[in-house]
Amino acid sequence: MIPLGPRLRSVRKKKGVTQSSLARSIGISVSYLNLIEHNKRNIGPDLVARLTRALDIDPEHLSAPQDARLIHDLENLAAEPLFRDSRLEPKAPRDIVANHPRWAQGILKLYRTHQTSSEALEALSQRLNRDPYLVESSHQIMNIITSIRSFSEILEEVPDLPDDVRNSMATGISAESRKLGSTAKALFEFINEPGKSLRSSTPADQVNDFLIDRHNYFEELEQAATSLRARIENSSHRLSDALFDYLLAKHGTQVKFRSPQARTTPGTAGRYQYDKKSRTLYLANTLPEASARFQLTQHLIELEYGDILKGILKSADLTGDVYQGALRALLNYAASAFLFPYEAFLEACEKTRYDIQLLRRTFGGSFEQICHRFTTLKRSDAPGVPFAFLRVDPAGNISKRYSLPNLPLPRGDGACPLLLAYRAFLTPGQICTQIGALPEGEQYLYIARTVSKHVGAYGEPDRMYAIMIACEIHYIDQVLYGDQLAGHGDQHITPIGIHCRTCPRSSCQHRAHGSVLGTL
Amino acid sequence: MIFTHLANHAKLNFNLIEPITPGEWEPMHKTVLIAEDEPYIVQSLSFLLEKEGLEVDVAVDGRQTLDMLRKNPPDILLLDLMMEHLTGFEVLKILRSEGELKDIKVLVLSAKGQENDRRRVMELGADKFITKPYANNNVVQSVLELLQSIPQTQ
Repeated sequence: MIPLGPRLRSVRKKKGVTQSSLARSIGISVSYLNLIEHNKRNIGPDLVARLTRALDIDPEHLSAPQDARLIHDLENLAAEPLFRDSRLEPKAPRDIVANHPRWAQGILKLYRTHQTSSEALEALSQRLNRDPYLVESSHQIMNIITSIRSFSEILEEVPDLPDDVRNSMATGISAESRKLGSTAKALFEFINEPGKSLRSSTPADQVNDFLIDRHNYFEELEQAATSLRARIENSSHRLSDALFDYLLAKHGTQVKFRSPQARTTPGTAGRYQYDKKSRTLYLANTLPEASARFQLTQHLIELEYGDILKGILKSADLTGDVYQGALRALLNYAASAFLFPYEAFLEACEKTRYDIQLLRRTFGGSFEQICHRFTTLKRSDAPGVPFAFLRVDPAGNISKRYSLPNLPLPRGDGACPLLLAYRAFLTPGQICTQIGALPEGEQYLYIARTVSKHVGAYGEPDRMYAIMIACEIHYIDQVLYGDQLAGHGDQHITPIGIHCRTCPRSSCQHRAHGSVLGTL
Repeated sequence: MIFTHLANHAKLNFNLIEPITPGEWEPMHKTVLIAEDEPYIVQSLSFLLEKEGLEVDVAVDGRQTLDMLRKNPPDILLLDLMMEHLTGFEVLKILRSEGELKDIKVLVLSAKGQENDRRRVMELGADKFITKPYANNNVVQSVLELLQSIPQTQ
């Protein structure tokens, strides 16, 4: 029920009706009407009808449907992260809308403007991230050209230069020319390989940058994984059982399965938890075999190779959230190296042309785990096809992201809706493929499908993600998924972007935002 | 050499100004401070200005520039904008606020050639703004013009 007191009061005054005459005409007391007008009493539809009839106004005059929408919008606004610490009273929007509808509209307008500006700012700052270097280099280039030009003019125009001055200036020109060459080359490389020099702002981006800097390949972890596997593998046992036995015998770690509802650690969604005191690793009894193996392996690697992990992180000079994120990434890496041994896995990849389903059958492992292992096949003497990787949920939240210097992926909100990762939700569980062309013309092969993680009983929603991998178009012959797309000319190529706001395709039918590029 | 140059220059471009006779200039030894961190630019500017008979001093960063300005104020300052410790903008601002220094002629030489940089520099009180890369002649002419505009004190 929307409080309509102030609105009623203002309409009544505008009509020149006194409180007492209105009260009398509808048969209530003046004091009761006064309470209504000050929102001290809520009234039912019957009384509203009598009031509006007596004032000869449309009932909507008193409580317009847009009020409900305004209230709803204001309530939503209180949930925004911006106001997290402001403790906005959840009931207040009703009073604000009832008493000051224009203020309510003003607040919303302000918030929407803020939102649009923030998005534009984010898009711009992604571009400007690179700017300090560009400014610095172009300034340096201007200075070099200045001295070369100035020396040249002197040599040309001053006829009676002493030899030592002439020589010294010639040396200057030659030194500056060399410097110009190397500065221009560095600038050129920077422009063409933004991933290398671009420093990002969020911890997740910095973890991604750390992985890119190391080419997502860690020889020391590959070796550790190989030697661990040699110690554990036992031809008469399943790998999981061998892991159980080894954990108990070597580290006294018990593994117990329990209901996921028994969780206590936030963020792990009840899938696993380690109790240090009793040396017990609890795994959810709903966990699929592949995930359980992955958790066991991660736990074991942390126990046996913690020093190697810390050594890598220390050499990269990481701290705080970035350190934690990078540690998780390295644990994932090492577990993946253990479960999918480099040489055997790469050989199988090449033989099956990266057929994820066949690889799953050979190595056990989930769709996501296999795709993730693709991105780490980077040994310099035996590399696989370089893949980028993205994991998103249906609301567009990105939870894992590994881009390549030449293969950009969206960073957050406002991504291109035509990216295959988002389209994959239309056909859950099916592998879909796409050749996408970015506005600048580069083409990539994208492969995606959704995966579900069961987290509850029947009727409770599963966690759903889309996993997408991508490679540059010239690897298409090496990847099975390109077969049906290759050789069909332009009709199989989808024009896509990365972020809507930084995409210049003004006539795109799928635009969610205006492009900020036009206003640059 | 400076006398004939200035005299010629005055005749060519400043017809309204009385040509300066060499004798009037003789006792005045004009000094210039080059504030610039690029050694080769310093070398060529020094050469060009010494050729015109000026006495040249060099500062390689913003702080040194201010020290030298205060210790031994020159007639004209050639100022780069992108310097360490204090930028050219900051030097200019301080310079124009200090009584004894505020009349020093300032010629800004900068690779920051955008219109708002030029405007900001002129608002801060520079006498002239030249973007890099420049023609030598343009800088030399501008220095001489600025020196000539200094009121003569007896």
